[in-house]
Amino acid sequence: MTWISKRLTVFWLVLVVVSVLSFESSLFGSKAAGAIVIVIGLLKAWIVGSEFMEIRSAPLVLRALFGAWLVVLGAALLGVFYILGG
Amino acid sequence: MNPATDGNETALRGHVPGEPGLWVLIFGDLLVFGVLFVTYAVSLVGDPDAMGLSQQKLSRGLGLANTILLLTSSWFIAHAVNAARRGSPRARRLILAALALGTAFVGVKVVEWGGHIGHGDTLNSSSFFTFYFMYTGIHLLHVLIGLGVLTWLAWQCDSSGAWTGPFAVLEGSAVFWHLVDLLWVMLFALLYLLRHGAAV
Repeated sequence: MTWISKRLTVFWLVLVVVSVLSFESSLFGSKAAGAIVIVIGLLKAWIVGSEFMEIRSAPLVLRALFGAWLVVLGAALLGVFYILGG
Repeated sequence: MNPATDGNETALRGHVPGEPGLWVLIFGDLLVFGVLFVTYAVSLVGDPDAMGLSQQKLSRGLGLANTILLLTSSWFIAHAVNAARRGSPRARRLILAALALGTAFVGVKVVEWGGHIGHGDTLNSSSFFTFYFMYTGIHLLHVLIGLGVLTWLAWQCDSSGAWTGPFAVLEGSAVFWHLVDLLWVMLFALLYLLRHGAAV
């Protein structure tokens, strides 16, 4: 198994474990639970993008655009949830 | 062999996976889905009780199963890319494994949709189910395109199973398949897990 292969496997395992653990997170129905679900979703998307799509080693413009997408989406979702949603 | 892709970290630095033009499509898709995600969140907080009531009818178990199927399918196609970079004959087997898991995703989705439609929850039955069928439908279209691409990739391998086509084509196809995975991860979080208010 190459180093890259091990790295992919570790991140795959992290994604699966986080998915299973976040499964019950919504049941609390609290404000904090909403933020946890949003942030965990974005973290998983970030791992898929940087590790699987290889954005991590791509030129700066791709890394910056992907980072901006995550940050803007995260801010918009949390803003809607906590400011608009009261 | 592509000099930028001999499988080690330093060689990959600064490398654009796939054709650069593909990334216009990728970011266009991310932008559109970003707007869809925020639109859904606005509706969710606007009418949390009605949305929550419909949302409870979703099977989070099937959503989780589909998440694991796509994450694992992504893992296989990432390994297929690495196998191709090494000239390994394992490329086709890895592509076929990714294809099988993606097909299983469609199977689970069909069962899930069938269950909802059977219970009278359709595209027009409530706001939540309109979002649910629209968003998972657009995503499913991506999955079906991806499965077509994966099938074509498997055909491009030689009789030993090694990748024979251009690396950029394999890399770009893999990037698209990972995008399908990335979008599902967000859909799972927003449609299945995210609640607003006390509705459980």
